[in-house]
Amino acid sequence: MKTKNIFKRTVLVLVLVVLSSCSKEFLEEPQNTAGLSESVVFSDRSVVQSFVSGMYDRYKGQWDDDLTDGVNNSNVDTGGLYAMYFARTIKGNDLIQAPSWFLFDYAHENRGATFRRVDFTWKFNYEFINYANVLIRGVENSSDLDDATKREFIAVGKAIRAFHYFQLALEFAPNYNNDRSVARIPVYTEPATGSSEGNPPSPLSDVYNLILTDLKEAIPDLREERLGKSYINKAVANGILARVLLVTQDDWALASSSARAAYGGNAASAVVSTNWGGGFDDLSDQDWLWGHFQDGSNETNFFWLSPHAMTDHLTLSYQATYINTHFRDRFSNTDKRNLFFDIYQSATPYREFITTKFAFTFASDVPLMRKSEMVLIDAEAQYHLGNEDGARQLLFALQSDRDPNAVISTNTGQALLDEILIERRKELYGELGVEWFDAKRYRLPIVRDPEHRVPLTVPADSELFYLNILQSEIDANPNMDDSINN
Amino acid sequence: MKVKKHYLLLVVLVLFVSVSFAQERTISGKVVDKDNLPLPGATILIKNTSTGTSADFDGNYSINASEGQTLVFSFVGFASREVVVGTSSTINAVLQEDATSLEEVVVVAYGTQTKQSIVGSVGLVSDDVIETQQVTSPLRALQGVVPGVNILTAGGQPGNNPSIRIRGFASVNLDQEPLIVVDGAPFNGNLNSISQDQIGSISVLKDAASSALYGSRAAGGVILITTKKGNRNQSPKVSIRSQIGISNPTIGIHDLADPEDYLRLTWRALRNTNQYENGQSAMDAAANATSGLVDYLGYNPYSVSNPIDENGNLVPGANLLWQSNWEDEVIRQDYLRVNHNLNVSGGSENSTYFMSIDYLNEDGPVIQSGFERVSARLNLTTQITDWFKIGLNTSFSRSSSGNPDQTSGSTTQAISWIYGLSSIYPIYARDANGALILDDAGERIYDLGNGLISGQPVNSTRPVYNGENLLASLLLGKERIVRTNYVGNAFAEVNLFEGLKFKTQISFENYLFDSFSFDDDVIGAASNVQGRVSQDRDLTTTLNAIQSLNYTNSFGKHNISVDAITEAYTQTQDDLLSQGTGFLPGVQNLNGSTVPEAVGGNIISERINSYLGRASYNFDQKYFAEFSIRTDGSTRFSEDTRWGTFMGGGASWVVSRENFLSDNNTLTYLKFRGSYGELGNNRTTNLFPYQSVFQTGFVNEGNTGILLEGVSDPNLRWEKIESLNVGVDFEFFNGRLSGTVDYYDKESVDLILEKPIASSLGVNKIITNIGSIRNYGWEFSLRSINISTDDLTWSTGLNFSLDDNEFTKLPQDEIINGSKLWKVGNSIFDFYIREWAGVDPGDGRGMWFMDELDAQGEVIGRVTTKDYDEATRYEQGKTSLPDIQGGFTSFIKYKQFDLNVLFNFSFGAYLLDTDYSRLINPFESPGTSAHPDNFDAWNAPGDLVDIPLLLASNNDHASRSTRFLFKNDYVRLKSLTFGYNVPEATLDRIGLSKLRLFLQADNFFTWQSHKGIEPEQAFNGLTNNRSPLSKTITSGILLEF
Repeated sequence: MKTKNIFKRTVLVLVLVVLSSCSKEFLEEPQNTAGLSESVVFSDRSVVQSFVSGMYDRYKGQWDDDLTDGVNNSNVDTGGLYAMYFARTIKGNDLIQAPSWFLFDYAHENRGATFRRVDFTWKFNYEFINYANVLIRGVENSSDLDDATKREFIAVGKAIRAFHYFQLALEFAPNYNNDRSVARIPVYTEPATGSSEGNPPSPLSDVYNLILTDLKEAIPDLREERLGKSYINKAVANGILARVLLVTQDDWALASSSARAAYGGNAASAVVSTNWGGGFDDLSDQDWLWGHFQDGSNETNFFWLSPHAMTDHLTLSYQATYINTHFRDRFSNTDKRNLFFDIYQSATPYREFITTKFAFTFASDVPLMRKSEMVLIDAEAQYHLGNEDGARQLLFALQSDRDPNAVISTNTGQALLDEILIERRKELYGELGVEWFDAKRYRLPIVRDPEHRVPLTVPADSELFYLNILQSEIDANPNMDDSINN
Repeated sequence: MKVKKHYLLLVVLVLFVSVSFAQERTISGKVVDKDNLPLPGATILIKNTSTGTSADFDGNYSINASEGQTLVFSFVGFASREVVVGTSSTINAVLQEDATSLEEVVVVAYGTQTKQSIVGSVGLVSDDVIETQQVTSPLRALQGVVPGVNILTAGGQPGNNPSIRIRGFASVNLDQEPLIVVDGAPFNGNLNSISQDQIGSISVLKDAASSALYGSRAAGGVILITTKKGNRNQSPKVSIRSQIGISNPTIGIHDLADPEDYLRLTWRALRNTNQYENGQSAMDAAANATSGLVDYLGYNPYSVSNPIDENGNLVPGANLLWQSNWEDEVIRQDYLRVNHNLNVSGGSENSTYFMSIDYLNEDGPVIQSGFERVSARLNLTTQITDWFKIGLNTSFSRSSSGNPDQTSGSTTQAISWIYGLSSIYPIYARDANGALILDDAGERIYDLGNGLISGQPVNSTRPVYNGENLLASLLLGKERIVRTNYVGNAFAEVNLFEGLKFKTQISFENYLFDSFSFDDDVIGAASNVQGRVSQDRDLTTTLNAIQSLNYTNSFGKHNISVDAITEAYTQTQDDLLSQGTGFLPGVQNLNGSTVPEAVGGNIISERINSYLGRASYNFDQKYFAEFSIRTDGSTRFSEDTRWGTFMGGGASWVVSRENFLSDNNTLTYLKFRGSYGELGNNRTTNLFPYQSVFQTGFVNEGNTGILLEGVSDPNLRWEKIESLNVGVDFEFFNGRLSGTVDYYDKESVDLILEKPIASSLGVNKIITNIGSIRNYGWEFSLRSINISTDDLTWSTGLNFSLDDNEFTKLPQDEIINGSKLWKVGNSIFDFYIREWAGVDPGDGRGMWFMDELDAQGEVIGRVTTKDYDEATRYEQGKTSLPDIQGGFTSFIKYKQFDLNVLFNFSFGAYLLDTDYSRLINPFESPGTSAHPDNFDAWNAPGDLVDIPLLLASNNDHASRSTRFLFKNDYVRLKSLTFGYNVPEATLDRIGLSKLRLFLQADNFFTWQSHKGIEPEQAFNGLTNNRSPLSKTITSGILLEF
């Protein structure tokens, strides 16, 4: 064999090896392009801000419990904050749900420990509590952010955390003032890590203490300026505090001042709303303090949007919600909120009236807090503070705007309080579950008229006012056992 | 790089080797079989050199050799023969067919081996076996053929790839599919891009010894697909196959109530709710059910306003105005399958070629579903000098399929719709009197059930699926997937010196998944945005480079072979999505969109860098030993946990070559094998599973948003599989009866599991290495040649496996995973659900068992409860895995006729049929379909039945329990081929070498223990509204010249 040939073979092999050999950085080069690491997020104000924006996007989206699996298993009745509120709405006497989405909430049959409602309400709120804890701790530990920025975002985190603990306490525990020692809600103020373990449930008093502390600490540091009305600012945090105090009922002065801070102090101008008759779909209304924003293109949850997609019978949607005829009778003909129509001419009692309060499109915004509600909270607080005249004046500020023929109330005592509560239902129906909320905190029954599709009475303080604790939580939390649902 | 230094050393060595040569001369001759027929392509090698040639088309060869050297003649399927060169220049060789075909060369990891020398467990499937089946996705051909391979095809969409599990479930969360290697390169495209006619052989590597060289990706086993090649000195061979046939669904779907039955059943449910839930008197309850029925359902398909009377019967004189048989509308009968194929192969003295073109057009069981594919392949090799060979394998495939949704959970999923919407809801819109509503052009309008005419009191608003109509969505919308796959695979081989060979291979694969979806602008969910188009283009590119050195030599009876290999692998996923709305009628292009709704995309890569080695040794073809090692560095793990080393080895002993057995005429072959090794699994769904990041892509009021994904374990590392295999191969009476038995036991340690976290922490799980799972079982494969005469051949084969699976370590004592309980000793698929205790004859309520506790909370027995939430979940001792599964084949050939059948079977598995349960006691959700079985429900106190009373209010009767757990045994005639080969005498006259006419039937017959649903559902035994598979019968013609 010729040496030349051997040489050729060797050169060829070397060339082939060089051609296909790899550099030293071969394994270092690929980077995770799916997202940003925590150190990047908390190094820059604008990225921290985008974390907060991400949360509000998730509020209004199509929620499911796993962001990482690439699959969306969301359901219309458990899609976001709006769905939690509509489930409360539909538990009352004023609205009636056809057998469509939310039918089990409507029938008060949806509190089982394995049910989707329970799963959603539990996981959704706790998910945001963890985000808030990540935000607070991430901002605190950052060496790149200035102190003003830190204070601002810690305040945002605390307001969000308080908001969700408040929802959990409302949904998963009996009324606060019945028994404050009831322990059903575990509390966390640190972000979850891989080694975290579920906490034991805390007494309701501890939960409310955290809610109040967080809000009171957050309000001074929050700013009024914000990126948009879907963000929590100082006014919204005051509004949340006012709502919490409606439940605790132990500081009506603060309830009044917080509500005033939220609506600005001038009731007559605060209640002016462009949305009545306009479809309740526009966040820019001065009356609206807080809401979900949708634009119909890249910001929309499509058909998930309650209350609009449920109550609007005039466009392609679910057409599932009807109005109790007796509730309709509470509105005078000149009340601009009297938007009830008998479009079906149906013989079925529950299908007599629908409302056009909410107009559904993919661009509909959703109200989460309005100044009008704050004015009514102020009125309620004035009543409890003994200032019945002030209460009547505040009530009339709203009533006179809605109905030109309204006359100022002459009610006193319980009748005045009842009138305020009725006005809350008339003003806020469909939005926040005001009937359920008021019945729970004032320990009242929910009595349905016989026209209902599912007529029933929920006794005062019934267990139907709160949900069972999620079974998978009990299974995975070493500090909780089945007895919590007994 | 380190390896380079080794080459330099080799060069030096080579330069010092001086070789002297004896006098060479040309030897020529002919290689034939025992019938004196030439063996074209037979190889002739000079023993212990790399010099060789191959016989031409007539079996002739010539080679330069010197006296005293030994020529080795070999040919696939024949025993090789050695002849020492003497004085004669002519050496003719007659090769004997190798009954045991132990000299058969099989494709193994990074090379080939003879079957005899395998020490591990390798399942082999030749093209003969593939030919007897019609498999759009080629690996479906493994079902019932290779023991220990569990194959499941979910849904009838043509082109669907099966899920494959080799030897059980070695992982829980990671990809458990086998690694697919095509012609030596890992394949990341869609398997349905490879046509079955291009495949020469499939090797299934099942144990550690055979697959350790694939290291971190071998845990699920490895399937090596080798495409066909041409032979040297072979005149062109053209083969044309054409098949046309029709298909039907294998199994229908569950029975559904017609309108009259549906209304009567719903009436009963309403009455029961009125009477037993709302406390109305029996008379009121019935009257209210009659008056409330239409209102409850929203629609009335009858001519009278209250079609069901107060006794629950149809009112006399009520005329049915319409009836929607959604099943007939949506599921096809007698749909087409067409397949044509052209293969050309051949070779010259130095080069070989193989070219194939395949066309397939197959319809699916659901309207609009179909799969049309053209695939082409060209494989070339050429010997440039006697020491330098290069080759290129290229393939191109494009498929276009109509893909109406048949597997998801969405509203307009075909089967879900049929089960979800009863026959009382019309296809076309009706007015309050039930008359058709026509549009301005006089055409019918699809009924969407959401109030076409505002205020129409009846036949207007459906309580279920409103705003949609499946037919409108399938016929007016469009779901299309185009898959384009290009693979180029180039290699070069250099013989450095005798016994030492260098090979380099670079392969590049470009797989484009392109989906297009149009939702109509007038009808359905996108009508309020004037239509929606979304397009997805996902590009997967794979670049793989392998450098290998192989040294093979023999020293007397000692034969050794050593490999040193490096491999670099890069896979890049490049996705792009865009979606827009606002289209003019008739416009379906994104260009015509007025509102951009979504855009998205990401480019992300992973890499693996590897160093491999293998040494094998045998003594006298009697004792074999082999050892392999692979070190992988994978970017899926952090720098600290990135590298892993995997080793495997095995030995075998051919007992029949020992003196004491060599003369035995009964037991003619006996071989024992054993192997042990470690494999890895790095195939997480996420490419960076050790990082939890803030995901991008959120937006709120125009502001960019990000969200944290959850928590992750930065120290995540490979799953490691410790795998043991022992086996025996045997033959009696020279192959009349042959078989293989294997026992395997493999344990996956460091199992990556979702560790459930209390969801109050705001995250539900963490993915970490926390468990171990063991798979063990027996595999049997038997083959017999029952009759073998000139006219009649009959052979049968049976293979089956008994597979078991159990957790050996878990982070918690018990983890409830849906309907399964994971605990040490249980398999991942052991059902853990509430136990049905029947119907209380007194009140018709369903009952379940619950534990009875004493004051200390100890279980002292069990009692029944009517509260589902209270009921205890019990381990059922039932699993969704079969106890035994396998296949049976029989081949009969009589003169010109042949008949081949393949059955596959599965026994012992259970199915939780939620397709069925949603049809039973469904009336709490008005309008959903119902099974006629509901008529057997409890109706009055004292009824002894197993279906609880029907209720139109919330109840748990159809909730998950043993009530819907069914035995899922089945036997399926998977393929039947009946053929006629035109006799040779006739062929000669028309100038063909082969002409065959045949009938082929696939999935033609299915026997099953639980009816109404396709038995192939899911490994976990859960149903999901899947469409049935197809049974296909085709006639075909095959001709060769």
